[in-house]
Amino acid sequence: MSRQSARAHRRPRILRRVLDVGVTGFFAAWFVTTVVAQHPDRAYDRVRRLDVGVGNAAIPNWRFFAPKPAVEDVHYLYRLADGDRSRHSEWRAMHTISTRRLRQALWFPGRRREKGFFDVANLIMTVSPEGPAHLVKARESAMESINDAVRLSAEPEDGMEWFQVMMLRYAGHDRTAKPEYDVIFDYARFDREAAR
Amino acid sequence: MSAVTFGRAAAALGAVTAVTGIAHGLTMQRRAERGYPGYESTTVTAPSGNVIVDHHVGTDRDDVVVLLPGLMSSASTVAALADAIRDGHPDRGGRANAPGVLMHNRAGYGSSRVLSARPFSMAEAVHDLHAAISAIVPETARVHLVGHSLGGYLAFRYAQFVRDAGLDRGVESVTLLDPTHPGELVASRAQYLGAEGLDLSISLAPETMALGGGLLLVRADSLAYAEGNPHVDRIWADATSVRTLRAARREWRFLHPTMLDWTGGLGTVACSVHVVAAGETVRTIPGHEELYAEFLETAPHSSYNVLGGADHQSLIASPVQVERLHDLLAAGRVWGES
Repeated sequence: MSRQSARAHRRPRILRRVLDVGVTGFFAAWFVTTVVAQHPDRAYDRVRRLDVGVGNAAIPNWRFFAPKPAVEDVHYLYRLADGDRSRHSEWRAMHTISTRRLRQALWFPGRRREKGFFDVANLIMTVSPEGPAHLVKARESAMESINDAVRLSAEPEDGMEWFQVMMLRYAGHDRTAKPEYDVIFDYARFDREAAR
Repeated sequence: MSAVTFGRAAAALGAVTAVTGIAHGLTMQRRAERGYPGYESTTVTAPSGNVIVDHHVGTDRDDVVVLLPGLMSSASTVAALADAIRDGHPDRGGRANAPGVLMHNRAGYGSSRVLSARPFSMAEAVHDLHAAISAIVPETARVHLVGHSLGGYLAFRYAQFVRDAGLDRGVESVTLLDPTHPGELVASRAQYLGAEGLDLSISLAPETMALGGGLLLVRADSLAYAEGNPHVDRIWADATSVRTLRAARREWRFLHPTMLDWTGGLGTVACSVHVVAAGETVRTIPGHEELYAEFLETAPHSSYNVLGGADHQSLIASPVQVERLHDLLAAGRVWGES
């Protein structure tokens, strides 16, 4: 075999070897990254933040609901108030929670909206108002999104142009359980521009 | 790709990650045990068996300020305030007229060691503190306790101990910086939920850190409150030290159920009590000022101030807030600066 043909013969083997090591290394690094990103305390999420640029989709999250699964639904109530907050309406439900059915284990499109409210509540409850500025900003935005939901589902009445939201948790299926009152928002105005 | 090759590659990368993390942890541990430039270190063996290593300067002065850090915090968190007190206030004659300073590390923090076989108790912390003060501060000096968070409650309990034991050495004043109130988990649902979160963090933290978990923390987020603090590297070393976190867990295992069992009644002290609240604490936790008011009612003389814009940690770790805090303490003449 001439030198030229020996070289040509080696080239695919080297390429294959490089590819083999590269692919193996990539999957091994992915595996190790996935393992170290599973700590139940989210303060140790430095590695997990690496996939922020790809929509948090590259590093699987196997923590699911650990360490504490959700056992309650989140409810938002609101009440109307007049300009000097001397007069209030009764507390009203902003949205309803679907009664649980067995078939919902297979098909439950309405859950998406409820899950959205649940995730917003989770952010409001888990981020400290004293925390890092960007997280505090996220918390404030989450509260404002709930205010916006009230603006979409309710209207001023009887000269009461302001409203206030209360967030609470309630098991739903267990009527004997007392609701847990978590957060009362600052007053907000239906006409956002007029409030400024 | 063969499974063996993948397994070997993953094991090798995992081993490198673990070794890097463990090396980081050991480096942080060594840093956490260093002294502080400009301060003398004294080692005291307390009656509990614990070894206390405190850092101090100018303890031969007429007034000595004893600084007590909070839970999961070593002397590094109060070191910026210690520097400010040591250097004196410009309006009051500067360093020449400044009081002495003693930075206390409870057992397990900094170079202090837990050698007691018993679980933590506030009584142990009080007696360890008493052993340190007795060994380091001359009896003729007037002692002023300044405690942050849990350190504030420890200061309060120490003042009660000195009065109840009828000791010759008095405590002139107690300054509580955003202090822990033993009833705060009962009084506030937000505090209760916060404690639940802390319970998870603190139960896993020492082992996580021993396995190199310090590398998984985002330092910029964790220490945003201490930006610009000259001791920030040391604060980070303490926060990621396995020994510090073990000490914190030992304390928390006592504090959590004790605070949930609170039925009221702080008692009284014989010295003056000054409470300095972080503005963000009283703004975001409804009813918290009522708990601080309970501290004020325990003393014959008291004062209450709110440092607006400060939160629980930045109150003592942000250089801007520390300067404001020192101004406030000096203006209020909490301790004598002749």
